[in-house]
Amino acid sequence: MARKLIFLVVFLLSLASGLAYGWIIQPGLRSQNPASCLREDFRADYALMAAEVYGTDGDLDAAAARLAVLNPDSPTEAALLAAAYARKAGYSVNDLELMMALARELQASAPVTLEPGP
Amino acid sequence: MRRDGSNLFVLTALVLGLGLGLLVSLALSPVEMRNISPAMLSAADKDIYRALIAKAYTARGDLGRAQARLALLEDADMRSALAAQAQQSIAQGRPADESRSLALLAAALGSTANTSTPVTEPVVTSTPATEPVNTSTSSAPAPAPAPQSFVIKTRENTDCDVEHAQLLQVTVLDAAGKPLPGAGITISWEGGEETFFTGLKPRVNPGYADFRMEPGVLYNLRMASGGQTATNISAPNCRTDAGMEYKGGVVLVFGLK
Repeated sequence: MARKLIFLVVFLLSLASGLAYGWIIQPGLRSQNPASCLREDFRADYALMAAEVYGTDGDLDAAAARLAVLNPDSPTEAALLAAAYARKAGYSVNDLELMMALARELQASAPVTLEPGP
Repeated sequence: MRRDGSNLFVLTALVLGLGLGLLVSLALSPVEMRNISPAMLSAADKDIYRALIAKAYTARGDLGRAQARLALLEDADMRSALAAQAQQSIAQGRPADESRSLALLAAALGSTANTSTPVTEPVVTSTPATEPVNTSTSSAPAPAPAPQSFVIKTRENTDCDVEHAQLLQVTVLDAAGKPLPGAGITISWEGGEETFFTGLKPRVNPGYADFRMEPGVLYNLRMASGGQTATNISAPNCRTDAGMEYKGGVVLVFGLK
């Protein structure tokens, strides 16, 4: 009986240690994080890159596919939110124009309505 | 013996518990984080991010900004990561412009490495990841020219340097005679064709690329954007001083007419 109890206690403690290691101590060790988890500033820069490429090749489908990495349900929303962040963060006029141009084109092809922020 | 049994029983519980815990927390149900930096992306999404950095660089030619963005991925060697992804992209048959952009950026980084351009530290503050970089280096190489007529400037059919064994070494020069990175080269042989790019080995020169030839196979080679074709290329027979036979290399230099 004592052996079973010891087995159970040791098993549970080591199980908890294993879980704590992966979830708390080293949460990024084997992370499978998608780009949709990026922080807002990185998301905006990613959208800027998509806008820079779109500004050169004019391929709206390709730009939408790139932005779908940020928001698979609505690339348009990803572009609009990124542009809004860029304006707030003081991006250069050139960058803002590129981002707004892409957001406008996407909005024209697949309109979305953004919820007002808090 | 009885004591060993007790120890084994505790050890079994320890290994089972720890193993199961690690399996669940690292593989079966890893924690999904929010507000992460690009360095914490999955390998596949890092590749997507890196490819977009290269495409944006090709679009705007802003090397400083591209370097700052690449630094966010925290690759041990960003140039090698780009070159490796370019090769992988070719092997996977992804769009040629993606491979070319990656190669072009790798080459551009190679050329600045020699002039010790500082690499921007990772930006992990709440400020925009990439501030507008108005002081962009103008040394960024221009994209390879659109369809133009490349001609063979030099063809050396027998390069018996043992270090170049079976290597088809191609250098592409621009109109000014300078090495041209990111230029696509199409090589074909009976039953196959492949495109590779200059700029992945900037230590040789930014306009250099090579291809390993199979003995006895005849190859035709031309620039992907058009121009003169070098035909019937094959690995030549060479012999060491000790009389041992081996297949040597071939050297080709293409330039704009």
